Amino acid sequence: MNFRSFLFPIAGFLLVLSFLLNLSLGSVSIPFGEIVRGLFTGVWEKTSWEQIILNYRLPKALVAICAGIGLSLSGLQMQTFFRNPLAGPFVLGISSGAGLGVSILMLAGTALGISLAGINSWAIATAGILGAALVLSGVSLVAWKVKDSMTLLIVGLMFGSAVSAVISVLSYFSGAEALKLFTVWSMGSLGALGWNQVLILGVLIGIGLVPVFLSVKSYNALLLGENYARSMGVRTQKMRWIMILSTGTLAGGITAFCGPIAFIGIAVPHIARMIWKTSDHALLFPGSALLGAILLLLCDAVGQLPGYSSTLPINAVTSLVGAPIVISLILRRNLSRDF
Amino acid sequence: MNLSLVLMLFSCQKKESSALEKTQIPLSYAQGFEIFKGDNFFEIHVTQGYTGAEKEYRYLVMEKEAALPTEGFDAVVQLPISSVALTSTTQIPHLDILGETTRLGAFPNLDLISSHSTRDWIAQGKVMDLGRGPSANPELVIELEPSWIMISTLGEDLRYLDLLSQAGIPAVINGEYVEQHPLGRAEWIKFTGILLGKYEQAVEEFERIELAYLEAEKLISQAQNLARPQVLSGVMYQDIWYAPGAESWGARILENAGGDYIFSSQGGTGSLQLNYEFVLDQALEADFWIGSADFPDLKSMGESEPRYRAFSAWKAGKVFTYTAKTGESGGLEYFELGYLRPDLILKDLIKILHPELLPEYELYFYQKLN
Repeated sequence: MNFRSFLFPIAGFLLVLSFLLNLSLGSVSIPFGEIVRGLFTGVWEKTSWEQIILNYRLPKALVAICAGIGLSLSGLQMQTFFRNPLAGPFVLGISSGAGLGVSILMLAGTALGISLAGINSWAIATAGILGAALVLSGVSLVAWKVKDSMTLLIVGLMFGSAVSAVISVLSYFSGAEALKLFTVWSMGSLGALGWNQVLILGVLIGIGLVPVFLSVKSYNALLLGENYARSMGVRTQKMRWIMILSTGTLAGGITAFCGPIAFIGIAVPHIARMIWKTSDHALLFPGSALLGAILLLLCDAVGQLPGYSSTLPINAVTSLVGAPIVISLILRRNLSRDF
Repeated sequence: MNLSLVLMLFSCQKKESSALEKTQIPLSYAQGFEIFKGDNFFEIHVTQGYTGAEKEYRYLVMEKEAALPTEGFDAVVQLPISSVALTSTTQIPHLDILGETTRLGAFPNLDLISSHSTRDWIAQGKVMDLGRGPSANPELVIELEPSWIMISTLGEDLRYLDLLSQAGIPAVINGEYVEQHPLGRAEWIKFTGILLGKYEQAVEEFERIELAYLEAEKLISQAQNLARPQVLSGVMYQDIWYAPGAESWGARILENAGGDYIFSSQGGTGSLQLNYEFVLDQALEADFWIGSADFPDLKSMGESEPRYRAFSAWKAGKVFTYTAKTGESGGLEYFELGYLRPDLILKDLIKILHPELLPEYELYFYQKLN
């Protein structure tokens, strides 16, 4: 067992640790012993504790794991496919698309007189998925036409800008309350989901992961350039579809359910490359998945501001905590070596 | 030499405007404006036109045929007035209660208005819609030339005021929402009253509302051994709970109505954003839930957010919303009339929390979710 594979049990252990830490921290302080006892025996000292753990913290922690895995893997795929260290899960306009769906629901809804009370997490998720799917199909149409991956990247960015413009217009015409809701949505939230939705998100992530693990070798070949990959027998056009579908399902599903979560998708693959000191996707995929889950669990625990009655939005925490880490890591090495 | 002359002129002008002989008329609750009465004019100083306002706005309202120096005022209104433009639904009942509904000439997004008499007036095609943008369309206002326009602002679009005053349209700021005493908001009727030339009538109407409020409040303050039920308020979007701050208008009426507001330790006059865990821990056993979003019934409320079902108030069906009266075009009357009629809100809440104190009264704004 070399040192690289030896890192996996350590990361796994850290994942369990951060999961438990995430469960035990929150606005209301609940002794760790009580949580363990409640989870295993079903007997709780206070009914509010049972509610908090079973219907809030537990689903939230699972969502953090799902979102952490999904976002880092779609980021890694994008970075490799476009051979661009700045690529992330949202470069093809997926988050703007989901944002468009949600903003039509929240902002245009109030303009048309639909009550804000009708806006629950199901409606938000459905609107997000529809919006992401809309933009994704637009991008796919382009992908079908163009051969060059750089063109696809630029077109994706343009789609994102155009869609953001529509969102701005909607915001301009909407009332204060709806605007506030949309702003809060756009800061991301892991704790808005009930168990049914967690299940659906889990299934979506599962589906999105299958193509990732089936195409590890092709991704490795892509690192050396599309032409080289083609000479190795990789069908780049097919790869492109696999990538669009996989990242669309992963990032689209997560954005629809949790709002756009910044930073994780771009940064985690870089951190994984530095820790495992490799560009072999057989190690990078599981490594990024583990790291993404750990990082999001920790960020969420910080964002809960244990002991206070308020919460920080998850986006603020991921960026505030994460950006300095990434900057310090990146300054130590030359990124262009990897791409 | 020249400069000092200009300065002198300037200071003379300033002096002149405030040198008009006048006496201040004290207000009972409102803190955002002051009124002064002169021989044939009123002067109004709006000191809190919006949250955090630093500038004081001075308005001069001249009676018919009065000719006074108008320098130094932010707006000058000459009575009698023909038509007016309003920008917030809370200002609509002011016209209604003073019998001046037909003065309304323009309003942004007419669908928001619920008042029956105003809706009749709109149906006659007499009110111009000023659009749905963040501030009323200035071109349309200038085109209409109302006698004055009443603005409600958060302080972000003051350039708009300049634009209107350059066009010669007196634009006055109504800062009622800044007031945190329930009767303070209602007292702004005096402000509108002066601008309409109906000050005495406005005072009468205000005193009637004040009396009704204080009498209802007395029911609570004089009751013996009154149990104060715990009251939860607000709604959850995603996992953030939004509720009125403890020093806010809504929370104060709730306390006056003999309720124990569950978030009374969370200060602030605005809206609170609380963590779901915190709310659950504090409010799981609360007796009442007053002021949730406008759900039609308990079932749809529980379906929309399953975590609502954990609260005792929901289980016991003690959830009340302010949606009993909806205007024909979808506006909520609570948001329109509530500022002017805190007495009705107070009585509603007393009826909900202590029905034995108001056996005959019927809920006006609030309704129980079934």
